[in-house]
Amino acid sequence: MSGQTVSDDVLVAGVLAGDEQSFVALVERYQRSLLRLARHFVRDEALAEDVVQDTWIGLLRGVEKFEGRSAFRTWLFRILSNRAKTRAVREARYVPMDLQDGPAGADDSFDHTGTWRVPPEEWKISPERLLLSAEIRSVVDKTLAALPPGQRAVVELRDIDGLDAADVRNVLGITETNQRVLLHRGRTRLRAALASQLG
Amino acid sequence: MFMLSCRDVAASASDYINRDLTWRQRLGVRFHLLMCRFCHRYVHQMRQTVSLLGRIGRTPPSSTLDDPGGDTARDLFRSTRPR
Repeated sequence: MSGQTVSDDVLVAGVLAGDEQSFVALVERYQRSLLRLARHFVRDEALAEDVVQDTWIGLLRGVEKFEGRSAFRTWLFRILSNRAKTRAVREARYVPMDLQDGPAGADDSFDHTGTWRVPPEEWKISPERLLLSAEIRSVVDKTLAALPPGQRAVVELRDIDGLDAADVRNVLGITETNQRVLLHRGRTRLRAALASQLG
Repeated sequence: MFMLSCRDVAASASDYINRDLTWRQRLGVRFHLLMCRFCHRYVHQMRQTVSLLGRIGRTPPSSTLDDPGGDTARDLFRSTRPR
């Protein structure tokens, strides 16, 4: 396999031209991300898999309408978001994702002057080794799973799937302020979880 | 200039990394980071966390995943082709 990654645009052009392998490559590239997002809209795993399939079918039927005004990835995620809501309402299994988040808890990291009470410690592992450790990956996975749904959704879409703020707002239907607060809180928890392992 | 506390800077860390602060806000954070090694460390660790998440996103799936997806993908593709 070539070490170079084929761009989404090239694969989309391939699908338009009737190339099956281009479509398979897109599925391999985005299946996990789509399933991850679908699970936020519907709590039933089987329904989440159906929603992702609906999304791929929607892509195949509508790919000629993709005009390239947004990134392909954004367009695909929006298809999923729409399909998920439609399907879930129809099947009466729609549990609106709790995106509002509660008030921030009391933060005792700082004293009354706003200075660190317990300063962050240096991490004992180099950044290059971070991803090589299965233990670190496990910490990240567990922490993500334990995040409130809104924080998890925003962190996954922004930091794992690489969508920008405007796209995440559109896909999840949230405000700019809400998106920034959820992202900040989710990242803060993940940093703290890593610090407990690496500090 | 309004002096930011460590709490203020930590609360702004995510916005700072995303470059979502105003010019003035960003200047306040940078000024504080120059003087406070703990906040500098905190923001650096936040960047490392975000970078790690990004690398997870770019890591290809393991071989135990998704080959059924390959067959399913081919079936889907063929089912939508005109006869």
